[in-house]
Amino acid sequence: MFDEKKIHEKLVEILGRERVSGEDFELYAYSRDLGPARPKLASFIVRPEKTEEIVGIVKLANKHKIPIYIRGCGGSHWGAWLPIKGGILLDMTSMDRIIEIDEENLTAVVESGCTWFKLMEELRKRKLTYLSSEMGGPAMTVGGSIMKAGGGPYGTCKFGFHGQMDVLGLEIILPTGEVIRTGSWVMPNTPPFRREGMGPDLTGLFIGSEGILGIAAKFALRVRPLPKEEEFLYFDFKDWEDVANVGEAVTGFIGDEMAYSFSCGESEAEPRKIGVRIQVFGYEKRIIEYRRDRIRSLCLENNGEEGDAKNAFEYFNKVVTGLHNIFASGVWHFAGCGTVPIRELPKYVKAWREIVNRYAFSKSSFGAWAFPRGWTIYVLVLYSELNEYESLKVISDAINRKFFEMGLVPYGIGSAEGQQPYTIERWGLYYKLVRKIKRCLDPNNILQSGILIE
Amino acid sequence: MLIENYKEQIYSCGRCGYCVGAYLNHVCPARFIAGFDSATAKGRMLIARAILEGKLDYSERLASMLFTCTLCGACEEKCKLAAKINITEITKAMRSDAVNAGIELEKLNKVITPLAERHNVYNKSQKKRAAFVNPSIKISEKADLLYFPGCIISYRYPKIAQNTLKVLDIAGIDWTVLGENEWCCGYPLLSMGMKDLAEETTMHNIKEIRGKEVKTVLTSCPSCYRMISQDYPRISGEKLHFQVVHMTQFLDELIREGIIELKNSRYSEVTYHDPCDLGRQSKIYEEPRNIIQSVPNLKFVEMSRNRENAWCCGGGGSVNVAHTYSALKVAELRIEEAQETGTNTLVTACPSCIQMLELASKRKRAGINVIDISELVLDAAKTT
Repeated sequence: MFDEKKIHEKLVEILGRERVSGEDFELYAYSRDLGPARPKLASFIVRPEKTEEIVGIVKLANKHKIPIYIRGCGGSHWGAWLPIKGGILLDMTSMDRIIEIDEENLTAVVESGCTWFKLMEELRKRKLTYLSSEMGGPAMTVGGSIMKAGGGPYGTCKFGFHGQMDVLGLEIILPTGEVIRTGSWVMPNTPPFRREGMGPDLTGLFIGSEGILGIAAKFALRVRPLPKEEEFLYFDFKDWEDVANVGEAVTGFIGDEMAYSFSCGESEAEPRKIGVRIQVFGYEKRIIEYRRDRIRSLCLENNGEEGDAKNAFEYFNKVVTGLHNIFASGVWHFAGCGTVPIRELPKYVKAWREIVNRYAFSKSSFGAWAFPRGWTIYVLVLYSELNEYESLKVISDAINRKFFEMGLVPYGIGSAEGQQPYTIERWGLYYKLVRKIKRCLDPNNILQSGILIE
Repeated sequence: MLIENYKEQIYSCGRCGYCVGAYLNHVCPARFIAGFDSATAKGRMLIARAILEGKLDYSERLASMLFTCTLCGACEEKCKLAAKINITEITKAMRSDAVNAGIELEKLNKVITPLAERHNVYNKSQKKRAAFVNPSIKISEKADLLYFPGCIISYRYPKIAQNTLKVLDIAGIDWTVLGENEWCCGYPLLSMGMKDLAEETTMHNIKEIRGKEVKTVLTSCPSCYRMISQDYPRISGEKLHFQVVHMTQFLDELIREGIIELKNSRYSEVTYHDPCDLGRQSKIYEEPRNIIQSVPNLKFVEMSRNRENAWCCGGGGSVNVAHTYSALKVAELRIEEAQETGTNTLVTACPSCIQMLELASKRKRAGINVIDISELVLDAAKTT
């Protein structure tokens, strides 16, 4: 326990009165993410604007052993930032600057609360773009998605998840208040153009940690020239085995995947109608047309029926700017979300069908997108928070239990109210090592306390 | 509690963040002012849930936060892609519930008291309501058209009313006004959560308008337009026996029909600010643009955010009363956008927007001249 009044005044000293709130209504405004986890209340919400302020907050929290939770725009889905032990919640969205776009080295340095959309618009002005993005909507922040090693339908087929190719360095505030940079950014006067070469890949240590080991303030990212050529394809399939065959073929040559984006899905509303959306994206018209034609042939050979490419065009264009009518049939929840090896897609679809049939739950769909030699899969469950919360929990738990038993690799670590009950118990010694590293870096267990490590 | 009526909608918020937009501070003026999530639609829906579930009570601080919302509806535009929540109505219901819970904001009382006692926002004599009419003109007792200027035009911008009467004169349309029997349209009361007073005002004005047996009510104020056309039928439970027309619709029609002919204007280049109650809340986007583009040799430059995406002037939702300085910061941002167009004349069609933007332009020494659309039209009509 801590003296809330005293801590409030200390936070005000660091940030100013305008950027600290302990108002009861404010705590409720920050009590939920997109998922069904019950509301969790922090003691304070703070909005830092610079690294030095975060350092001050972390030192204060360490001194008084106050938990800190870190949030971008709040769009995570499995309680990744919910303040389960109270304490200080950092709203990182006031740190949204684009620090630098280096057109020579093809890098960008941005603050954690910058949205992908904002970065994309600035890059476009310079005829540049980023490598991949997930589908968190227009308010999705760079920090939020990289710290969970996110990925989405856009670009992941070619470049994989955040951190595999696009993150070159980080500026991290350690749980004890020191500020470090990683990659070539460590060297004085050297730009953040290379991630490796400094011994262990500490950038990789923090990516995916969801803030339990440090608070990311800035990101150095790889960018690339805006491709000049773009082609879209849309196909309907009846059998997931056929979709898996096409997915396997387009990701068959690691580093030279045929598609830039490959996304597919089936809704309970239209069983056996699997929509496949493909984007091919590049610099040379001949190469892009060749790839488009190869993928078209592959789809046709595997019993796909070609539909209007506009479906794919609209989908991929709206992935970043926001899909339409998203809550028309209820609030979203993603259950059983994670990654599976390239040949295993159909068996998860089968498990999904069995579960939704068992519970006679109709507002559900199964979706997937390809990454090099694998699939990210998810079950989208639509529900009314007012009337269907309990049935949502039942079906969500059933899907999570089954999928993780089958070997699903979780998409994000989430919290105890998310997927964790089905994941950590399978991690064995690996989990013990993570705990050791956490204790070493964060002896008072203040960062994201209770999210992964009790 | 009034928010019980919106329970389904409140629980349908999936917290997707569409309401804050891709730049986080570019959609919602309240978030721009306050910075915290309680100012956003998604945060407000969580607060409403906590109230409905009995976990949270209204307080003066919460009420003050509710009054950072300009009711501009920009979040609602974004929410159309997600849950289609009627956020502004829920916000007004929360304000009413706060009032019913006995919460008073002192700053608002300065407006509420004169509205209750003298029926205008400025605590002025009702006898001055129609002071904009030249004393030599005899006001018709009955006519097909009634001009409803509203408080801001009657007491602060009588020129807009005088312009309107000139237009009516050019068009040869006989008109009447309610004069001292015109009460505030009620929109400020509704926006401040004073539901009962707003209902009383509504019923009074409907009775007075009915007494005039008019076919058309013309107004230059988008808030009056919205209140009379949308809220009066809802509150009274009756279909209006007259049509309600905003000045932009009226002028657009007169120009299209050739009743008003526009020639040269003293203005060479203008931009246009969409008032929230006219644009997003009443879907009148094209008429003012048609009017501007009808003026020969006048260059029209859109601001970067326009129509559904237009940035509010900061004055809506009584924010200018509750948080005057913050409201001006919102207006200053709009003035910056006007400056970016390279023009020095900003046309709009709302007295409240003119008030905010004029002040913001002065504070910023921006040199942006803010004018009502009627002034642009009359200028081009008379310099023939």
